Amino acid sequence: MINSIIYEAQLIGFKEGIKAGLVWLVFYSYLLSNDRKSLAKSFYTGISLSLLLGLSFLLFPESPVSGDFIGNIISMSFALFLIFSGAALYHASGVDLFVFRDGMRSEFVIRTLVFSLTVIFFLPDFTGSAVYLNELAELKENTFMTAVSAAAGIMIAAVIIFSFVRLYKPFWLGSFFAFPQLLLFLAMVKLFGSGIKGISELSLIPSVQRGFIKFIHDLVHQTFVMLMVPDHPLLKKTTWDFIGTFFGPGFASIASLFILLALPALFINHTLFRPLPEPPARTNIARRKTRALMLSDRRKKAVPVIFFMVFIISAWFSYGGEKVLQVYDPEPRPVVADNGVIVIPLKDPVTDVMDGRLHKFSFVHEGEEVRVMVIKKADNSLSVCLDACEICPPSGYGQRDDHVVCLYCSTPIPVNTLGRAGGCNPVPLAADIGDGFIRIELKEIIKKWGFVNSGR
Amino acid sequence: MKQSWFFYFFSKSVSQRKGRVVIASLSIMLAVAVVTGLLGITSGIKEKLGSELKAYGANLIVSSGSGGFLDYDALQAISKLDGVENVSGHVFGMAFINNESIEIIGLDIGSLKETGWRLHGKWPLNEREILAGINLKDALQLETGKAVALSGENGIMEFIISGFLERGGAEDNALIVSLPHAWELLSIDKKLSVVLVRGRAGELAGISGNIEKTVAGTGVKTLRQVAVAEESLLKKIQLLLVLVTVVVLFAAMVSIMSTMGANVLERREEIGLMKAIGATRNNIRLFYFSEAVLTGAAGGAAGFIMGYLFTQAVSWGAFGSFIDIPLYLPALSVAAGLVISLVASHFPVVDALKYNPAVILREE
Amino acid sequence: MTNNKSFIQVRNLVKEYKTAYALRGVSMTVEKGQWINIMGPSGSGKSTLLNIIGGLDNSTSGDVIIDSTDVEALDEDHLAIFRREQIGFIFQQSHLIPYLTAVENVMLAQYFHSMADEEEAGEALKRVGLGQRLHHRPSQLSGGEQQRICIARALINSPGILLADEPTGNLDRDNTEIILELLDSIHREDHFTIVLVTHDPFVSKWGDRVLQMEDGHIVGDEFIKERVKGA
Ligand SMILES: Nc1ncnc2c1ncn2[C@@H]1O[C@H](COP(=O)(O)OP(=O)(O)OP(=O)(O)O)[C@@H](O)[C@H]1O
Ligand SMILES: [Mg+2]
Repeated sequence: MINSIIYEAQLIGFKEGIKAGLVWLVFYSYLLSNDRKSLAKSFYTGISLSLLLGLSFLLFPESPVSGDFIGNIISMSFALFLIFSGAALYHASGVDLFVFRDGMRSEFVIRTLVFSLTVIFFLPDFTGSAVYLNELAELKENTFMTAVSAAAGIMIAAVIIFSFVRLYKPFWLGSFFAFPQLLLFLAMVKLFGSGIKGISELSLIPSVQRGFIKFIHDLVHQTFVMLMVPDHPLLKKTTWDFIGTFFGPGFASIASLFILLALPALFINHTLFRPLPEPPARTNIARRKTRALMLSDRRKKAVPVIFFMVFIISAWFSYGGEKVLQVYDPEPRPVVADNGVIVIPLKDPVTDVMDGRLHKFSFVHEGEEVRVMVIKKADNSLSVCLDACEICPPSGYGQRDDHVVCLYCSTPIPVNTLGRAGGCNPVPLAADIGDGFIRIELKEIIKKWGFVNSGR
Repeated sequence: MKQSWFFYFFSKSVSQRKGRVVIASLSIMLAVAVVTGLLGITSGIKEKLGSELKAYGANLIVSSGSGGFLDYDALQAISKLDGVENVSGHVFGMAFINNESIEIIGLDIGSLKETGWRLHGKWPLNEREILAGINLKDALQLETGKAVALSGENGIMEFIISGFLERGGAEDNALIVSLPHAWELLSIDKKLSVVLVRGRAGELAGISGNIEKTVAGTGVKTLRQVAVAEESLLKKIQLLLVLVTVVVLFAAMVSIMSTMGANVLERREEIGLMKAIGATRNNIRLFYFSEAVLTGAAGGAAGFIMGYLFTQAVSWGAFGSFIDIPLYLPALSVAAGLVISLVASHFPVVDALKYNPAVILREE
Repeated sequence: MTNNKSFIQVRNLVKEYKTAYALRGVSMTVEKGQWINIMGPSGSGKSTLLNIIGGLDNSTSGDVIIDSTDVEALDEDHLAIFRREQIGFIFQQSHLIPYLTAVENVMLAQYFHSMADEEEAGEALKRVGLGQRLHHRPSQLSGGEQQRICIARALINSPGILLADEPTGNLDRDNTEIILELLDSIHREDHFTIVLVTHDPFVSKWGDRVLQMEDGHIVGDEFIKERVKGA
């Protein structure tokens, strides 16, 4: 246990080190091939500042910001770089950052740009890792060892990167990157290496996937509302099955993959398939030569983008369906009413409803199974709902991380919003929680369950 | 203007020697097909064997060396050993129903669910429910849901039969009860007759040694029919796989190497000329390795299809059902084809790079 | 004789084979735009000299400096780059790729230089009088026509130097004359340097200057007052 924590801390340090090393290598090569080595200073300042600020979080065992918050910031910075890369592609139209310079005329502006991009890139990641390290330190009750292990991880990464650079001098990498490609590269480094949940989630892909899936689902939902597709209960099963595929995780996953690939695809189109501009040249031969140079340059610049696309697709499918979209669907435990009240113990030898997992309880009423679900929210309060919503047939909900997911239409609902009524939300129940038991009036359950089923 | 001059030139040059390229692809295809087929079959068979052998339960049996009982703690100790996949403790004894002696087996009934034995009826839901061997059904006229009174050393206990088990072995004549009930009936305190261990195939000798070391005074036997069959079959298949793979890959490499070699030799003049008009070494590499990639990818893909069909045919013949091949196999096949043809082309291409154009162009 | 500003400078070039010397210390210079013919008996080292100048072969000792580039110092890939930018070759055998058409054979040289351009290649073939033969394969063309494709191919990238090793060795008198006149007219327009090897005195009447070789030495060097078709 303790060993595994040390390894995990080491792994986190290693990951941050490799990330920083890779980014440095590519950026530095990029600067070299554009003859702007002097800009490296701004990068170093930025990364040092980020490291210091990030590390300072190690000093607060009670982190002032939550991991979730940083997770969101990281996702946002990923999105920022991704969108920036597209913007750069079109604003600079494939031309380099340093052509910006003519417009800006100020070295200072470029330096500031490099500096702030560096900070925006590294600060959230370093902070996230520091906060996660704090959590680890708490588990092990030894902040010092955790910090040392993480530092060892960073050192290992540094040695690897250093010797790799020493041995192979891979600065030719720079010729594969123009400014938009550089931003895209940064976004990809984020995507593949910025998860802040330690070993269990090294990359950002699962959470990006989740975000996209929720987004697509909501989009589909809104579209159907806009199209005024009548409420689900009125639809025949087959029709709903058809519409349901659009709500399903499979569709959302593929659609989100397309969204994520859209930008790289634009890059490919931009770099490979647009007609070459006619170079000004005196002779045929000179023109051919310039065109050939331009062609090989833009082919080179498509290479990293194609790599990213392949990576994204394979990562998407290797994470895909299984891990991210799996839901935890526990067997309901049978309960019986006692004097018209259902009593559920908060803790008994087999279950502890406060363990953060989804718990289901069932009883039979007039020949039909009625299910209740109980789950702990982040604020340690308990949410007690029917295992059904007002719209879908009562297939119930499963749990996926901090969401419950409708098993019928795949709508994910954050656990922390449970208790809201209406729509796809599970129907909340009035319950009396105290002295170790949850007490729910049987009448309350029956009434609301009847409401659920009335549409069918 | 031609869209891509390179591909145009390349395809013209390849179609010039279609026969050669096709033969090279075919030899890769055969190699890949054999390897893919073997991989598919072994992984499929492994899975099938695995699930079929699991039905037997275990491949090691641990009992007290002196013929007495084992301590219940031994079970825990054994389960923690390396290579042990599954353990279950059994206690055997006799009890009476209506003065007829019946063998009873005490074990963790939940663990039976994984064995794949046939059950007529339901799994026991509570402490009072037990299972009976299928042969007892007629012998004692038992029925599911019916109560039986068992008399043991400590008096009479009542149980309800929830279902009948069928395995085709000694268990079919026994009553299967939970361990605590067996201890109560037999009036022994937390003892086991045997511990059945499922160890990882191929490591059984090591595991049984470890068990004997860990739990003093035990005897460990392999369940011969099971263990021997399982281990030797897997070993034989794996050995065969390795041998055939090596031979087939070697043959394919040699064949590609000679095809490529002939190709390069035949086109000395062309190579010399390309060098004279300014082709760099990379230009020439690109040219020949493209051909290797084409041959390798085509051969690999075709080989996969052949190997797949072969696998399914064999499986149909042997098991009467199709096998699920691992998902990575198609990618692996194409990659194998590429590796074979690239490695084999390497040497002829290095030769081609060494040609001195001055010498070649003078010849004739 | 040595002039530091000459376009081609060859100093003390020696080429030694295991069994024999092909060149035994050859020095010469060629000015830019000059057409020089090298004559001599078989085995005197003419082809060897030409190949070393063109970077196809390397010498045992000595220097070859072309347009202030030390050819002997270049590695294999830079030599290839140098060849595709600076040198055009014509050989006695045409060495055309049999499965490519005339225009495609020219495009191959464009491809290695930079990129293929069919229109330009077609123009070049028209210039050597093969406008009607663009899409014929070499086997469908006469020896003279094949050699004309070679000229187009050798000159397609505007090299500074054309190296021709017995370009008319396989041709009859009429075709020889056609080829040489063609070379002459292109040379007058484009002013590249020509080094042409021949043992045919008829051929050496074209050009500005004749070098005589014998047994790996240069034994004669004379300027031709007036080109055959010059005036
Ligand atoms: N690869 C070789 N190995 C050994 N000797 C060679 C080799 N190449 C050429 N030689 C020798 O070098 C000498 C010069 O050859 P080279 O081809 O330059 O003569 P040449 O003047 O071009 O003759 P020709 O008029 O017959 O073409 C000859 O004696 C030849 O035998
Ligand atoms: Mg010769």
